[in-house]
Amino acid sequence: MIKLENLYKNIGDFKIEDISFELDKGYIMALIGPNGSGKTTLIKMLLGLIKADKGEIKLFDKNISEDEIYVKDNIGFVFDSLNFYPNLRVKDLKKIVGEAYSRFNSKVFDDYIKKFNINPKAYIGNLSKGEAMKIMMANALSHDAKLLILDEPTAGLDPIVRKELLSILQEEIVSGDKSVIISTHITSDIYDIADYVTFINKGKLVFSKDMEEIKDKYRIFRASREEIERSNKKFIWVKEKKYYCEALFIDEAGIEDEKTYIPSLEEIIYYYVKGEEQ
Amino acid sequence: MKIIISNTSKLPIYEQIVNGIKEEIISGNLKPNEKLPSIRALARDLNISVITTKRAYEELEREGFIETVGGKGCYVSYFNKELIYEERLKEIEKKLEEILELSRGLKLSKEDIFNMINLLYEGE
Amino acid sequence: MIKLIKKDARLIFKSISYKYLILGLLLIALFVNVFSYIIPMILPIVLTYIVVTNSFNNDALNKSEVFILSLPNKKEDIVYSKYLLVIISLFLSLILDYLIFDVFKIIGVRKIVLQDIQINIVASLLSMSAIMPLIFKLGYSKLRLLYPVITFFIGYLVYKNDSITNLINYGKESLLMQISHKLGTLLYRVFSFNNYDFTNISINIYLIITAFLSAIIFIISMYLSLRVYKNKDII
Repeated sequence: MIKLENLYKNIGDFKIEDISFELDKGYIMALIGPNGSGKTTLIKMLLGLIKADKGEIKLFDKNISEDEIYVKDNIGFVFDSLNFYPNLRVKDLKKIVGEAYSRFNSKVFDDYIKKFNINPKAYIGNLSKGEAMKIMMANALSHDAKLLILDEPTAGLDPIVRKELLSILQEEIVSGDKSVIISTHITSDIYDIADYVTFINKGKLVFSKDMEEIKDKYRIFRASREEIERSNKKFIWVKEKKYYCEALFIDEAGIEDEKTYIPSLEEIIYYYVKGEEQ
Repeated sequence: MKIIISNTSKLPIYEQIVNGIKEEIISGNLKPNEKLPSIRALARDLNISVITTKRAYEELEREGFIETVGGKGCYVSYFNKELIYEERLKEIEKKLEEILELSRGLKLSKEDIFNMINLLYEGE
Repeated sequence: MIKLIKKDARLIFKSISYKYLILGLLLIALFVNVFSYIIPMILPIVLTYIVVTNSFNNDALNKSEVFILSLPNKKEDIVYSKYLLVIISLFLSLILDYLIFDVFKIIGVRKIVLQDIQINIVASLLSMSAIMPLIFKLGYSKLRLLYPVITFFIGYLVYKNDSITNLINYGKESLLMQISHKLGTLLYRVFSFNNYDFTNISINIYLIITAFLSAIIFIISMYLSLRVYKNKDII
């Protein structure tokens, strides 16, 4: 459904260098990485807002620059904030998006708005962060989109709303026809439900793997400094603490050790970023 | 069907699912030819990823407990008693290994262990 | 594209600051005598300018570009819709002008003449042709103060160098004027316009030619904007 090949882009000081990854129909991919790593830029490239200097982006087997309308018609998007016209009402937004999408379903949109307890006559400018996100969700889910693209949709939202959003995403996946790509800082949100993880740092691809492999292979080794130095494991980075050290490595052999534990995605990001800095 | 998974267990989630479904099949709660939930529905209901349930089902199919009928879904296979028997034997072996591991710590001899087994056996 | 115009129209109605409107009308009412001679000449261009820059301002202020372009809207349509907005507001404000000064004679100093219409069309189209590609290339917010300056400057040039005034006041005939004169003579002879005022025909032809040339420049500007915007990254 999504195929990025050798993407390069120069924007001022920032560079996207040689990013490639794929996502099949019916799966959820989490796009993770520190601030400024290029996640939003990538998402804007998926939406055709930014053109790549080199490389190819294929969505639904089509090129966004050639089949712009078809591609965007099949994408549902949710951004971290609703930048729209504050003195329009929700129902005005509905008209504007309704006229844009070919398969817009007015009833589905209304049902979602009702379910989210949002007043259709409310002014966009008066919406809370959570309500704004829900409206984008309602929009994203009301036109039979095949791909849902979410850019930090849960930023600044309370845990209850976040859970609601994620269970909606899981429900959308059940049919197997849709894919989801969600960029987020709150990796704990997607740890259980993401099928694939693409990790970007400083405009480069760190890895794009499936979650089972990550949970199987990534381990943190907690031991004394000497043990770490003696060990022949390839550590991505070693964190030195007062009484011991912790180091992230990829355990191909699958050895179970008392001294190793399974890291969270946050820890994986942390270690890679620190390792890169050196 | 009853499956309970725990995030805090040392066992990876897919393995917990595999064990859970195996239990249900062995105990008879899941009958042969009974249809299992789709991997996606199961993922949604357990709040885990599709790739995890897919792996669990693939494992179960590999071990012969379930079958995928192309396009229709996954069904409990008509298992033979031998398969179950082997399964249980494997479990006993694993538990015995644990026992031996523990007893090494206490420096028990083979005799001590056999004595304990006899006692317990007679106690029944 | 029509949907985008509908969107812009919806926005205009919802974001008219009624305070400023009433203030503006009051001001006009107060100084009607002072301004009334020149109002027919400047009302449409001023209104068009206000409508169009407001439309761009609204988009820029609310950063709605990203949202609108994430929907299945083409960048080309956005450019077309803005250029069309210029034409529509120019047309409507010309009608308003005509209604105020001719039909309903709300302000009765003078009647509206073809020259008023022409000068508004030329000044509007030329100034919009100049600033719109800039807006599409650099974004509205960056040069917000520059646009009225450019518009004012171009407007000033148009009004100052208006060949008709020059002809009437100084007897100077610009190149275009001469061409129109020749064309006028030709038409006069060919169609035997014996009953028509010869000078009038020349002037009218001049007016039509200038308006037509401005329209061409406007269309060129539109193609320029299309190219500029197509290659722009929406960051």
